[in-house]
Amino acid sequence: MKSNRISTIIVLLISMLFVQAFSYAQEDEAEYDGYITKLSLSYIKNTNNVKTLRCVITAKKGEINLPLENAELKFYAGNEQSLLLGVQKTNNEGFASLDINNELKLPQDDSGAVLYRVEYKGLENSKDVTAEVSVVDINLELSLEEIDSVKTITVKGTRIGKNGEILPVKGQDLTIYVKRLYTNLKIGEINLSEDEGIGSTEFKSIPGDSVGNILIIAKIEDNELYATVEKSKEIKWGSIVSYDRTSKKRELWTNEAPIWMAITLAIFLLGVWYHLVRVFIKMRKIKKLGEQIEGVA
Amino acid sequence: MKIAQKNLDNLKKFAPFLESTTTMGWIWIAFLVLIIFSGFAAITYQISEGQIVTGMRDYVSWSLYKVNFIFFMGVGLAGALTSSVLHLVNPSWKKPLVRISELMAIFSLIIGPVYILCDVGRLDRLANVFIYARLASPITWDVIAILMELIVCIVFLYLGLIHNFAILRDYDQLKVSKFRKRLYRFMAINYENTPEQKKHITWSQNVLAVMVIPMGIIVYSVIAWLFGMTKQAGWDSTIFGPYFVIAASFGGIAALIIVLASFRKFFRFEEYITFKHFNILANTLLILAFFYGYLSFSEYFSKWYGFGTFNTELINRLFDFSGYGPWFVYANFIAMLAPMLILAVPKWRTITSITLSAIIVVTAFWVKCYLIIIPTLESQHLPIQDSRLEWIHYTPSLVEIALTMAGFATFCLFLTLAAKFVTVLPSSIDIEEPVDTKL
Repeated sequence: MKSNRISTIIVLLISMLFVQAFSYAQEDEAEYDGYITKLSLSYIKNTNNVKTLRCVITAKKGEINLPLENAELKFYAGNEQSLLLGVQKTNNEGFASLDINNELKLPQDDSGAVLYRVEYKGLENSKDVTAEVSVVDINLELSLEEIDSVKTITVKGTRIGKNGEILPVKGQDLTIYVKRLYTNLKIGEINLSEDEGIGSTEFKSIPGDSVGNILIIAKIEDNELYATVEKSKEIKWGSIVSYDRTSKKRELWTNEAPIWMAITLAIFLLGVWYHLVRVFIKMRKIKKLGEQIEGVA
Repeated sequence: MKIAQKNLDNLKKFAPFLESTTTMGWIWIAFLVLIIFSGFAAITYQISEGQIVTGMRDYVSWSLYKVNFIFFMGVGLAGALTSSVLHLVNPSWKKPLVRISELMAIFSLIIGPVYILCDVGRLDRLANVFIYARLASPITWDVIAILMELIVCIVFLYLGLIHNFAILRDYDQLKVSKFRKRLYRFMAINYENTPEQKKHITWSQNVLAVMVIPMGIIVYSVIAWLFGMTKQAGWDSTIFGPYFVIAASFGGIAALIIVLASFRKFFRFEEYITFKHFNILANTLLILAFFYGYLSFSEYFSKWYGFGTFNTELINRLFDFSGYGPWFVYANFIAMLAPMLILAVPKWRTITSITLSAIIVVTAFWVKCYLIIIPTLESQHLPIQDSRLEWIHYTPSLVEIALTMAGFATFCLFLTLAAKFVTVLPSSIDIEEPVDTKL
């Protein structure tokens, strides 16, 4: 029993190391003049199949964490025979990104993964900092259909095999979102089937814009094999929300003030100005009375 | 010389204040002008560089400017209410208080709204407030109410001063410039103190005094509704209107005590501003302290008991003794208890102790205005993406501090200059008999 527990812990520790080694985004750090330079790399494939490498570089000393601006970063693909993808400089937030040219033939390993690498040479006397991420390129197909009056979201995941054949992405979990004003709203999860790499979920009513449009996003996030991949489509599945504010008369921000408000203000202004005008007339009378006295004197 | 002859003795006493300024007086004026110039430099810098030079960020978009606006409007309300109530009730001891409270009201009503201009990011769009005014907007109500209140207060003060101008016009021995004499003549509008003229003035003053009271309450209630009409936790309160009016009267009466004590000390008005005046104001302050305490308790107790998410966050912030806690205690507990402890015991009542408790109340009123705005804005309903620590926690910048000091200096300078132009104590020279008149 005891040996079973020990073996379970060892397996867990080994699996954690394995996950770390194949993490979708990697961080590396080097120390110089008390500052520890940290470099992180991540990969995202957006709905238009644009693959982007994103990189953030910072220098930390104690509590101070400074983004490195204008740092020259070199992006590579492949392990032994590296292919230079491009060179970018970081902005004032220490961020740089590079869109990968889809025309390039990228070196893959036996599992079909491409190793992406970013290098920062740093200053003289300081060590180089490198971050890597290994990604298997996959495609997501998103279809939105009404099947037996049920609005259904279907996702199919595929990847290109070593010999150019199309292979299904099996057993992968992905999340379905709807784009909202501030962030994406999670509406469901899909598990791609083990045979065809297809999964589906039902869409339930949700408010859309003034014509009912909503943007549905299928997304694999921070995955150790595929990194971040998303596919989105707009469809008129949302319930129509009326933004006609003129119909809401009682709200303070409507253009039309309620009639009682206009009457109250009119009475207030007329009352004040009526008495003020009478006071001004009295002041004129005071002046005339004084003129008469001066005239007599 | 006709009106002046009646008050010759008093005129001789008070003429030096109008005719010349002592060295200390000049130093005081120069000191105030210096502070005001630093305020001008600050606002010029702010206009040229933008509002990034203030402590205002995404969360806290109303700052010291709005705090000062509420503070000065509160002092204005108390000044207007005091002068009009005293005019209508007409107690025998009213005169030293009336003109000073009228002046206080007008100067506060002028200075307060200037802070709104400092707060506005795009001054070039200021005219849009009038061009595109919407009747349903509390901002429109505010602009209309403040303008009306200011006009009525100025006319009310002027009516009280006509008699004073006529005396100064007729007093030949007054050693002032010709221009000033001509100005007194112009402002006196041929007033000769005839029964008919007195009747017109008294009627006008009575009408305006009746109007000033509801208008003052409306103005400050509308300011309270600028907050109360929002859904922001901490502001969304049904009692904000009366709470603001009571708090402003409380702080404003305390400000009046300080101004009276200053005039008494520096202009040597001991003979005219006596312990009796301070004692009456102390009683008023004491009664208002009870009301203020009751409304504060009611406001925060219901918020705390309701246990709403955002209200709880705000209450925790206000009671956090590493943050706003000490200020909250000062503005709500000490401000209420100090006048009760000092003024409730007759033995302890002296002009000094009354002034001291007034100083506590005035500063607490300012802190209260700060606590109503800043911690509330720091507790937002909607999270702001990519927000940074300096956006959430407001710290006033030097620009805002300079403009705050400039506002207070302007208030002091206006009062000082007013005391050099007219006699601030009507009892000193205007001996008027009451005139029966109907409204």
